[in-house]
Amino acid sequence: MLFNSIEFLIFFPIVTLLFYLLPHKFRWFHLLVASCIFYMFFIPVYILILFFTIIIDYFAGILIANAPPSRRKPYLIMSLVANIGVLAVFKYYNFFIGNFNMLAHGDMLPMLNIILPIGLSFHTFQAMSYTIEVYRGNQQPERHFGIYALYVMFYPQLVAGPIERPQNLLPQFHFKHEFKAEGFFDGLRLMLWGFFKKVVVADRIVLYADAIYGHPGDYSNWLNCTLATFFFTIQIYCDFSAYSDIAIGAARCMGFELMTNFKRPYFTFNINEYWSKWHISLSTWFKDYLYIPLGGSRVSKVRKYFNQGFVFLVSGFWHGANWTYILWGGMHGTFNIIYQIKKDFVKGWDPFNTVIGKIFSWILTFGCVFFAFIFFRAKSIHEAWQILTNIVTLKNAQPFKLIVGEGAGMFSVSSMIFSFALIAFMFITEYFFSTDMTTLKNKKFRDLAFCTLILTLIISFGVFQHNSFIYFQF
Amino acid sequence: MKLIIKITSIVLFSFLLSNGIYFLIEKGRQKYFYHTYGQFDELLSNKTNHDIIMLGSSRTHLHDNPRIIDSITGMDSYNAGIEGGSMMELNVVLNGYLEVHPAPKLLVLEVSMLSFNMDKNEVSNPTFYLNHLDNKAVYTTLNESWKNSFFFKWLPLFRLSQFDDINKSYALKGYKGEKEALHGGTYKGYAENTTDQMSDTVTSNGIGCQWVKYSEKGHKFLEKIFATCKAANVPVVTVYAPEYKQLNFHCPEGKRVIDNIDSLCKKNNIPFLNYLDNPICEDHTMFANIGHLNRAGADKFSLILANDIKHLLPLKK
Repeated sequence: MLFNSIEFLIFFPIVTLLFYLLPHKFRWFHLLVASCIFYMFFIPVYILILFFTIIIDYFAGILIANAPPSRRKPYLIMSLVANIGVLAVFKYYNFFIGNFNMLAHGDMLPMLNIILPIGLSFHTFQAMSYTIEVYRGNQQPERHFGIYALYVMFYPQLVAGPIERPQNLLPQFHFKHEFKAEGFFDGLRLMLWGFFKKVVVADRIVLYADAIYGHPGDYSNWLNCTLATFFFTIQIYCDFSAYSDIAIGAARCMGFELMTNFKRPYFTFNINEYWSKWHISLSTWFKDYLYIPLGGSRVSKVRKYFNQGFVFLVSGFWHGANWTYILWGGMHGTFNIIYQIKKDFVKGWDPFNTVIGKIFSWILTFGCVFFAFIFFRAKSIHEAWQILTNIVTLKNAQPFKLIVGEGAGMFSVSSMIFSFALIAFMFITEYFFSTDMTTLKNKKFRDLAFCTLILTLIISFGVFQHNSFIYFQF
Repeated sequence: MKLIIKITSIVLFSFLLSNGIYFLIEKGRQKYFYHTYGQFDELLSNKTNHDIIMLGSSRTHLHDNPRIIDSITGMDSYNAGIEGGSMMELNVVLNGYLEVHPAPKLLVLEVSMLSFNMDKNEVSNPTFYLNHLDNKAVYTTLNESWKNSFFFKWLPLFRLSQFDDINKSYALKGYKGEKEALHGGTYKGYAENTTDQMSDTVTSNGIGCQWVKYSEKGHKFLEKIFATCKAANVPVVTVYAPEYKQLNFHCPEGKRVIDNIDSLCKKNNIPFLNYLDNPICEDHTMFANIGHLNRAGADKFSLILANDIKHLLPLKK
């Protein structure tokens, strides 16, 4: 089920109302059923994949906890193999087979004709987080099967995160949540802001990026390519952070607190800081479960740089089974290594600590993110390279086209002006507001006016063509 | 209680503001699209009755000159050509017209090959119908494709979801005094196409063939139109207007579309005037582009059409 759909507008109030009306002992069951319904709006039969990993991980957690320390590892391996195995089959099999066949110059091995289950990468990582924490002794196994299933399937964050840790989420299902008007309204306000970013900003500017990246041959002018990449950079932030806002807000309406996933990442001054504020739940997952086990920073400098590069490559691969995502990850790995080298070897005087230096740092950081996103968005490395060279060489063979796309996908001059105005409004608002949008909560009339304005903008200027969220494909 | 009041206030104020924004946008668009709104008002509200209705796509809107048709036939005709009109849309307009007008003496139904492509939006101008949802036939027919028509009818602010930025910008243009681009003059729904003649170097290389698609759904709407006319005792003439060098006809699905139109007409005893063989099709000076005649071509074609209608059917004054 999409958040930006009539179905969700009906689903959410019913689920939330029933949650508070039901006695606490039935609430887990109600949420579990609701989450199943939410998930089955996509491809219903795929819920069996979820059940498979839930059953494996539930028993793995208990077996790990019950086993003596020297005999725990096999159960952890069983859980990791099951989860990574599901990922490997549904997400990566065709990638590896396709590359193998290409190298073998023929269709040596068959490809699978399957659709990627929605949210697969998210819930498998959340499940693996559970068994790893139980193995490390940081988390007691959840013995209530229904509560454990709910931990994996909790609908607000089921398909696109935030990827929760068991220490944060599991205890909340045992705790009785009383209705608190203030918290409920905080949740609604955050959801409203999320819907604004999604249906007013992201789904509007997507037309431009889609027109250029869909037909790069027709729009080779460097300015068209630059604008398309810029709009995509904004679109992916709005789209993804909107999903997180709506998820966190919906959970908060029921008294659950999910982790913050974005902390204004485009207001950062170096690539390291960017990654501490972009998709925080994923970057901390990789830090805790891959980077630190590899040695983290407590190794030689060379090994540290290798660890960073490797983690970013894997992170790229997590996003999609395509060389473009791996390259995107590799670029960010390279940027981080360069930053780390600068930190390790350039001590003392820091030219970036001046006003001009900070502006330069911001431009450099945004620029790195901007250029890397070319590879994230493009369908192939060839296409990405084409667009990158168009921008860098200021290609002017074709004139700049003010109007792009056609028919329902047309993006006109008025769309361009309005989009820039909306982007400016969005960033200015986020600059002055806290990440959970509670800045005005004690200012009654200003809060009312702000929420009225946002809802009016959504109704009047929202794009309601049911565009799914970008991160659903991961 | 405070929470309920707070949420209700936000929703109410937003609805009020959004309604206001909708009416502002709609008013601006009416200023800009003075011709198209006027045409839809004429057809779907209880305005003047007409003897002959020419219904079709842009190939009617820019081809059938009521001045010429009226002078030859001695009747009062109206041009109901809808830019980009699909067969589904023509069905809506016909039903909507008959809901508020007595049956015309003749319906000249222009069938354009592109109107049968149901892959694209079935209604190419949905925003123009939103003002006419109180017309029972328009509402019922549209509701078959747009399940949200109920909300559009009773809560105008939801109509905003149908206005993209381009449509909203037309409202701004309307307030600035700009008018929709109609080339030349307008008269009873007709718009003069003053685009100059096309080049004679255009050849049959598949231009526009990606839009020519045979669609069962499209032909079902044609059958519906025939059935509606039969039920309302409206005599019908089906027309295929000239194309430059029959270029769309030579598309892979072109012949299939024409053959099916022909067989449907024969099945329903409806005359089919197919002008693809007319010498006008070979004359590039009569065309603005491969699918549309220019003003000179439209005048010539209107003469031909008027004389064919006049002689084909005994029209009672």
